[in-house]
Amino acid sequence: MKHVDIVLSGVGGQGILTLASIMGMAAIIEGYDTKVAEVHGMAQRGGSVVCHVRIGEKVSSPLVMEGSADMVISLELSETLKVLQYLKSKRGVVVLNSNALPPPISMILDFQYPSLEAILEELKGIAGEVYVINAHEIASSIGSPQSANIVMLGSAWATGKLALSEESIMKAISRTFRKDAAKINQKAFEEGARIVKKLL
Amino acid sequence: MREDREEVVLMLGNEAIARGAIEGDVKVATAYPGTPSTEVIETLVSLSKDYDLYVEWSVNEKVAFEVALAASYCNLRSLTAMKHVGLNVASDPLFTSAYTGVRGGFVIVSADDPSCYSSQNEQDNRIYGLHAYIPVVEPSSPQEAKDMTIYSLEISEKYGAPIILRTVTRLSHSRGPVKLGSVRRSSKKAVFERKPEKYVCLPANARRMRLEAIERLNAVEKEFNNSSFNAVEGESKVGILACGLAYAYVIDALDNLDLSYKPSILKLSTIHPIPKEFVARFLEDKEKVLVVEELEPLVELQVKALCHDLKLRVRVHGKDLIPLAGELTPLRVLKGLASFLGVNVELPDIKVKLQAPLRPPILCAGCPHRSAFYAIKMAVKKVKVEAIYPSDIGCYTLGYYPPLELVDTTICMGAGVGLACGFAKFTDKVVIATVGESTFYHACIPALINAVFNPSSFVLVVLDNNFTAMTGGQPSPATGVNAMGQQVKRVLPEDIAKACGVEFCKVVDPYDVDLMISSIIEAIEHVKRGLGPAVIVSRRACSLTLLRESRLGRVKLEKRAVETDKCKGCMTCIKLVGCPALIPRAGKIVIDENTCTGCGLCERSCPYKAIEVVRS
Repeated sequence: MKHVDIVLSGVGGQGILTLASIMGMAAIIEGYDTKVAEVHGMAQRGGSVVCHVRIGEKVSSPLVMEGSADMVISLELSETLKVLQYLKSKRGVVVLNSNALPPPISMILDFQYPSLEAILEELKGIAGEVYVINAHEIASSIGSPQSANIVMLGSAWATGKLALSEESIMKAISRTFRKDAAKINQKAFEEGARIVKKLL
Repeated sequence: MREDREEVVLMLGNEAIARGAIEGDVKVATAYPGTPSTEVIETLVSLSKDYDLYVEWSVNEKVAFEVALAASYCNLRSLTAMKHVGLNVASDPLFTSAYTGVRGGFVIVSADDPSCYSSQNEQDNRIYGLHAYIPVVEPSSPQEAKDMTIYSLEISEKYGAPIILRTVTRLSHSRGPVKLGSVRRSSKKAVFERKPEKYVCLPANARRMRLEAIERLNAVEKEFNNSSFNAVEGESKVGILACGLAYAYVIDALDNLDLSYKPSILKLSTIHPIPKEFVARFLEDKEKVLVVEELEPLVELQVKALCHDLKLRVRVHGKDLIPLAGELTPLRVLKGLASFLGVNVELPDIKVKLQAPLRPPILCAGCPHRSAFYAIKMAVKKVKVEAIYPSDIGCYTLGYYPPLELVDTTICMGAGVGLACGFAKFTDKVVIATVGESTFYHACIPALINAVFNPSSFVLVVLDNNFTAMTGGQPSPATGVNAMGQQVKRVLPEDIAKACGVEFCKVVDPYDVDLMISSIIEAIEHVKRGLGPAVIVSRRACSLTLLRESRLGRVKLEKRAVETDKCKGCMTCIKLVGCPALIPRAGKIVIDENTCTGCGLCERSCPYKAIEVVRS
C-alpha cells in the first residue's frame, strides 16, 4: 500500500473533525504515517465542512489530490456532491449518510434540494462502489443520535478499504471519548459495520 | 499534550507549536484569538498550570505583542500568536522591536490564511520580515512546527532578534504525527535591567539601533546557511526550491509525474534572510529552477536578485507557473511542475452535473445576534428610514446573508465605527453600525471617542454575548474571568461608552424583541436630531453557552415547538428568521429541540400562530 486517501464531507456540528482525528489516531496506532486536514472557524457555523485523511508509509501533503481519493465519506446527503472531484474515477468508494439537512438559505432562495435517487444516478458514472447508510436512524436506535459520525466510520471500515484494523480504531475511539461515551461509540461503530457486512 | 515521555502523538500544527513552546521553555504566551492561530494559545491555556506558564488572551494583538515583548526584555522566553491581519494591528511595536532587539527568545507566530477561509484578505506576512528586519522561518509539517518553534526561540535568544514563525491555515489546522521531545523547564524569573539607551527609541538611539538591526540580520543569515531545516535532495540540472508547506505539495506532485530523472529539490525553511551561500551552492549548476511558495514571490525575487548578483545563468521560474492568489494544492502545484518540466500530465476530469445547495456558515440557533438584527430590521421598517449598516469582524458578520442582510461593510477589526463616523457625516442616511463586544474593546474605542470629539450621529449596537465567540468562546473583558481562570472585574461596553462622552446609552436583552425595537427607534430619533452617537448594548450570552448551561440544568429555556395541525408549511419562519433549528420535514416545519434556545423569533414570525412554548 502506498496511500489510502479519504475525503470526508458534511455540515459543521456533525462531528466530522472527531471522525477524521480518530482515523488519524488509528493510523498512528497501526504504525503508519498520516495527515489529517481540518476546517475550523468561520466554516464551522453550520457551513460545509470538508476534511482530508491520508494514511500511508510516508505522507507529505495534508491535502488529497483531485482524482485520487480511494474513498469519500459524506455525513450529509447533498454534501456528497461537493467532494466527488476528489474520487478516483470509477474506482473510488462512496459511503454516504442518507440523512438530508437542507440549509435554510436554500429555502429562502427556492433551491430544489436534490433527492437521494438523483444523487445515486449522478454517482453511477463516477464511483466504483456506493454504500447508502441511514446513519442517523442507526445511531438513534442505539440511543445516541450524535454518534452518526461513528456509525459512518464503522460502515466505511467494513468496506475493507481503510487499511486500518478494527482494534486500532476501537483504541482510538476509547482515547477520544470518556468511558460511557466511548462504549456507546464503539457500539455505533459495530452497528455501522454490521450494515455494510450484510450488504457485502 | 501533558506527556513528558518521548512518544509519537497525532497533533494539530497549532498544538505542535504550543508543544514546542513548552519544550522550548516559553514562560509567557499571549494572543488575541483569531482563526487560524487560536489553538496555539488555547492549547497553552490548558497547560499553563502544569508548566508554570503565564498565558493571556489580550485585548488586541498590539497589546499581546507588547506584553510578550516585555517578558523577553526581562530575559524570559515568550511567544505571541496571531492571525495574519492581527500582525497589522501589532505592526507598530513589531518594527521597533527589531531596533531594540530582545533578550529572552521571542517568537511571533503569524498564521496566514491563503484562500481567506476565515479572513478578509490573504496577505503574506513573510513580507513583514523583509520590511521590519526580522528573520522569518516557515515549517512544512506539524513535526517541524514543533521543532522550529524551539529552533526559533534559540536563534532569537542567541542573536537578540525577534523572529517570525510563519504558518498557514493548512498547516495550523492539519494533524500529523509529532515525536515529542523532552521538557526541561528552567526556573528563570523576570529581571529587567534599566538600559534606556537600549529601549528608548529616541532619534539619536534609533539611528544606531537600525544599524544594529541590520547587523543582527546578517548574523542570522550566516546561521541559516547551516540550518538543519534546509536540505537538498538529489542531483540534477533541474531544480525545485520549495518553501514551507509547499514542499509537501511538491513531493506529492512529483509522485504523480512520470519522469525519467529526479529533479533536485531544495527544501527551504529559513525564508528571510535567505541563506545566500547555501542557496547559491544549489543554484550554481542548475539550468532552471522553479520556486514554489504560497502567496507572494518573496523567495523568488530574492533568488532572482542572487542570480543577478552572482552572474548565474539559471532560468528562475515562480509565479509565472505557480498561482499567486489562493491556497496551493497538490493539483495546482502538479500543473505548475508539469509545465516547468515540459511533461504532459493527465488531469483528473470528474464532472459533477447535479448541484448541491449552497451552505454558507450561519448564525447558530437562538443566536442573540439574530434577534438584534431582526429587531434592527423591524425598527427601520417601522420608522421608514433609509439606513447604512457598517459592521465588523465576528460571528455577526454572518448578518450579511439572507434573510438578515444588514451588513454593508466589513473591513477590519473596528473599522465599522470609524466608517460610521464618516458615513454619518457625509450622507443624509441613518447609520446603524453593529459590532461584537470583543471587537469593541479591541479597536472601536478611539473611533467612538472620535464621534464625540468630531461630532457624528450614528447608532452603534454593541452585540455583547460575553465571549469572543467566533473563535470558540474565549473570555473577553466582559466575561469576568481570564485565560488564567482568575475572577476579574468585568469591563462593560456601556461604562466605556459613557466615559467616552456618549449621552444616549441603553442596555437591552435582544430576546426582548419589542423593547429592542423601541430602543432602536429611540436611538434613530436621537441621531436624526444630530445629538451625537447613540449606543445600544444588546446583552445576552452566546447561545452555545446558553445550551451548555441548560444541559447542566443551570438555566431553563423556553424552547419552542410547532403544532403540526396549525402549520401550513408556508415557510415564513425560515424566510424571515432563517434559524437553523427550523427544519422542513414533509412539507411542514419541525423545531430541533436539541438546538432551540427559546429566542422566540420564529413564534413572532409565524402568521398562523403554529409555534408555541413547549410545556413540560
